[in-house]
Amino acid sequence: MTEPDKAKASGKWRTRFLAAVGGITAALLSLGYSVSKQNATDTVPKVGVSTLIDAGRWNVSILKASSGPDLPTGLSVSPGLKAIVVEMLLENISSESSNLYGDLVMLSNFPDTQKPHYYLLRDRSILWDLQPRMPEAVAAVWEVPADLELPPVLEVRVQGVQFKPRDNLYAAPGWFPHGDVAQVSLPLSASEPGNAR
Amino acid sequence: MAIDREHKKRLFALASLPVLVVVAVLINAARNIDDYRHRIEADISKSDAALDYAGATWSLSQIRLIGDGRDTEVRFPGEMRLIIVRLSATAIEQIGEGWGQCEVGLVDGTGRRWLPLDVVLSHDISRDLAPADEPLDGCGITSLNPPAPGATTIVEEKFVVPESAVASLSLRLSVGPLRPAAIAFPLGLDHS
Amino acid sequence: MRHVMRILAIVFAALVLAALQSTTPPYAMLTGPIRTAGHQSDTVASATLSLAIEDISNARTIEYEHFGKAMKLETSGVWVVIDARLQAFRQTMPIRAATLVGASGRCYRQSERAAGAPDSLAAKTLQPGLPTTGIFIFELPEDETTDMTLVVSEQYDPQLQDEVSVKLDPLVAAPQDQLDLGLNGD
Repeated sequence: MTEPDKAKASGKWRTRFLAAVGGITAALLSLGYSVSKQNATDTVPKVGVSTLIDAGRWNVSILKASSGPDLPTGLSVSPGLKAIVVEMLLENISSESSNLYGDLVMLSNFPDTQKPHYYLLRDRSILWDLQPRMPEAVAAVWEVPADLELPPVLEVRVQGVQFKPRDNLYAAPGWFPHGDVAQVSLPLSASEPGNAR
Repeated sequence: MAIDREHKKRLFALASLPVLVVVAVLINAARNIDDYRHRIEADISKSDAALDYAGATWSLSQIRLIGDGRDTEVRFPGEMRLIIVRLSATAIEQIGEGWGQCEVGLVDGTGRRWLPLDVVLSHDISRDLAPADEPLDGCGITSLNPPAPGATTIVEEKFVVPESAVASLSLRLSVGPLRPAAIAFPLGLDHS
Repeated sequence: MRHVMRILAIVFAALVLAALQSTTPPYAMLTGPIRTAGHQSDTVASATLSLAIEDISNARTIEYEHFGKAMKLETSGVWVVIDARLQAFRQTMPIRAATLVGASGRCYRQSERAAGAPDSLAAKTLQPGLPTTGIFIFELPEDETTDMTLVVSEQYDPQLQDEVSVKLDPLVAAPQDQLDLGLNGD
């Protein structure tokens, strides 16, 4: 081997070594990140019933939960189903009317993962837009099979959204998911038929 | 020499970048222009009788002007008039999906454009006018089940227009695959 | 010396790129609405539509009949009912979007709660040559009503489409207790 060849060979080794170190560091960092994220999701703050929760776009206080055959409209659910009704006080604290509350609450100790329907208790009808600075009593309703065994205490998770003045795609302002911000343990009472009135 | 060739390669790669950028912009522009042409009606064949278009022979089969008390007793307030147009289309070949994204409109001499009433309102009016008959479908619904070769279908569309525009109206029809080509039939409603 | 020049060149290029990036207009702004603004006393007209305010009333409760059912809608704020006259110039168009920008700058979309109210412009379609009158209904906190602007367009968040806005005169009358909007769907 001549001198330049030797230098070239050692350069090659150095490159490989650096690449290996870089790769391992990246793997460790991503592992650490996901572990820390896992921990973070396990430490959702527990919040009491009727306490104001700041979920970014929404201020929400979870009030009470009941299950039974009636919807907040006064009508009954379809035969073979029952309704889980979670009542809350909901305020839009963003700068414009919005109906994007579909992901706001979920039941974490419950197999049913579909999104609830929302009702405006003032009108006993479906909730559409919530106007800014006008809190309303609303109900989130999940319809589940009537013979499903329900837990005595519902774990309600409130998911936050975060405002970004410029999103990554269109540089437009918008609200983006920001993970769970609170968990509320809510005793579930049974409501008798006709009680919804 | 090796180094020199390496150098040339790099220079070439660098110099090709601006060219590639320009080519990419041009291709994108051509695609956008093509998309836009498929949304406008620029190449219009006009006729008082029949026209071949989108695998069929089209002609006006009936025009009704409602609201001035002549066609039916109904009188609409102010300038408001209802125009019901029936088009007959006889297929001359297999149409398949050739009528997709069908668009119909009334156009007056100044380029104003009236779009058809929606399906629900249109059928409600049909039932009011002729309770015994099944309402005819518009172009959009008919495009899902076009007539077989040799068969004829009637397409009905309804429009709300001002009285003052009635005399200069012509019906325009185009389908997605053939735009910017479109066909037009003057309604000839100027005998007032 | 060559090294210094090279570093300077790189720094300069970085500065130029940063300046370009920070001054690039966002896509959402480039494709935003085409705005026309005016005052309540004017008919505000863009190339495709015009808007004129005929009357404004405010109330604590609105009432109307919807397919035989009496509706009585209450609010924690006030209802603002705007009588407007709209006209389309070029092509048949619905007016789905109406927003009141309140005194705080917040945007209040027309109320879906009152969507069944009679003569609602949200349910109408504009035809060229046929001016159309009707009402927009809004629900907002009372302190927002001191300074309001009505913004109207074919759809919400218009892109490269006309948006017409009218600055409203301050409301002089205190809200009525009840406002009867009449019958709908007989």
